[in-house]
Amino acid sequence: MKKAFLAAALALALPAAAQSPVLTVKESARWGSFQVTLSPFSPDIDSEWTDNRLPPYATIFGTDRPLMVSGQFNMSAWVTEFGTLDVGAGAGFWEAWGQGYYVGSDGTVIRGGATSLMIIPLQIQATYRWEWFYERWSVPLEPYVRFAIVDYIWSTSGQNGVSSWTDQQTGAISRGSGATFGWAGTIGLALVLDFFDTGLARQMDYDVGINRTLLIFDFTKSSVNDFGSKNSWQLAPSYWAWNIGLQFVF
Amino acid sequence: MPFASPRPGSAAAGPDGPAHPVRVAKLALQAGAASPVCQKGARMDGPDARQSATGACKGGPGLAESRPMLRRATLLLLLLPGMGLAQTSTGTVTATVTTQGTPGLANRTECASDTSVATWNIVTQGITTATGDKWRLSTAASGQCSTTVPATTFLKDILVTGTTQSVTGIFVKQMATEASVATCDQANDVPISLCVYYLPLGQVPTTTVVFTGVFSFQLAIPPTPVITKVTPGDAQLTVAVTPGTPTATETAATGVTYKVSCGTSTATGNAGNIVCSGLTNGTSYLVTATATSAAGNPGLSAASVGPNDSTTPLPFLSFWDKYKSDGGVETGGCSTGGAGALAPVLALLGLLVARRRRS
Repeated sequence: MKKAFLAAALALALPAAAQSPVLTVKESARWGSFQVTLSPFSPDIDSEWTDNRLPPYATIFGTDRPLMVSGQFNMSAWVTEFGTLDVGAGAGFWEAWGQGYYVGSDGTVIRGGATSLMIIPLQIQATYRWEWFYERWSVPLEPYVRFAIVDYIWSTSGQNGVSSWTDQQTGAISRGSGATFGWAGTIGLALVLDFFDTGLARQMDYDVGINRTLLIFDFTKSSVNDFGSKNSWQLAPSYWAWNIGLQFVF
Repeated sequence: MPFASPRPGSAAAGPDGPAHPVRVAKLALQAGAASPVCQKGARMDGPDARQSATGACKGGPGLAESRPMLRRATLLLLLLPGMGLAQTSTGTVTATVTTQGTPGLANRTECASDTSVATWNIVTQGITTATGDKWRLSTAASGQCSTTVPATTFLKDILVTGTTQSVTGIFVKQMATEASVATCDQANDVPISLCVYYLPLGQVPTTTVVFTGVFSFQLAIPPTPVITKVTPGDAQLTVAVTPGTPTATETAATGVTYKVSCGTSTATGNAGNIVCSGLTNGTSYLVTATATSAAGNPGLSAASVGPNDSTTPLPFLSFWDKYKSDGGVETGGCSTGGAGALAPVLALLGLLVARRRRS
């Protein structure tokens, strides 16, 4: 009776097993990655003021941290059994809007009118990602570190396009746009999503060449003030900025 | 709307049965097609078949063909003068007022002007013209082109120079008068008909051939707009304009544009926010708004606003102004100092990478 039951179960299971798609193709060669991230961002422009009055950035834009969207493209420069060193470049976008001031004939000021600060962050970076935990122990976590040289292209606007300010004493005109260099260091942890559905991951590699999909979370400390120039403001946050995003390794 | 051609050999009755002694070929409105009708069975598309000055259609050699059926048909036509023979002819009549430039319409100013003129364009097919033929130009109430050639009240007689012809210098005011447009400041638009009568050899034929088109006196004015808010800016005022409610005398509601005046400065646009720019900070302005219909008829001005604080442009402090006036050190432009050395370093790195790739 027991044998008959087993035979029947096998008879039912075998056709199903035969129909299930099993990819036997080897994983494709890895050569790079692409990632998109979101990060709440607020430049530390007000660090120039140490007295108690309300500094300009907080006055105009408040204390909110608008999201910065960025993307990076990397080429794998050094692949070992422990991990991969990637080098690449990235770009992003961030903009804050606030209310300016109108100045009455009697000197009184009235809040109103839109003004903005826009930043396009560009960077070149090197990233090392430890894949050993996942490759060797199937632990779906990959720690990584990154160092980047950044160039923030920025522009401020008033009611008539890009702002411009004239020094009443010297007559010097300062145009409200420019570029500021700096650096950024990142430490993060990636969750290997392939771990949760290896079949789908292999299919994705087979179909579009994406070897691995990672959910990334990291913290970045940066300084963007032309490497300490006395004529530059600080466009980096004062805090360790957290980022969350997706990375596709191909 | 071309008439159907008769079947070969059939009796000369048109598709509507035995023809009326006088038939008017009514054209499609605006770009309508004409079907001029020649009485007594003469053809209208050959030099020998052109309608005669007396209204009798010349019989050309084709009528004397020996086929019995055709002879019978010819005889029948001679005996039944009321029967018409339809021909396939088309035509369009349009008029364009010189000052407006848009075909088919005139506004209040043009309607009332003693100097405003229009150009009529007459395009016909299926009719053969000859030296001495004339067009008689006339207007009538919409769809009311006369079934007889007007003898005394018409705009102009002009010699036919071809099947496509432009006639210039037609006074718009006269077009309105002949079409019985009562006044040029009435509340609603008045459509009229353009009537072009064909006069073979300059004579009034017994069978009326008329080509028609449409024309519109767009006399409606737009409702008075409302200024809901004026917001001062840096050397500018933003004026919020909303359309007024149509009334019995202000009926134009589509295609309306608005002109805002801030002192001597003006700006135009659609309903919503219209910005007067180039103003002087600290100066108070009187702000008004006027609506203009699609045809160019201005309506009444909205109630004015100001001069007061809200109509006084003020200097604006942007974030950059605030930063600099508070003593910020950033000067804008490309980076200097330590970052200045970064560019050559990056260039060198790029060069090294390129050399390594080549090797």
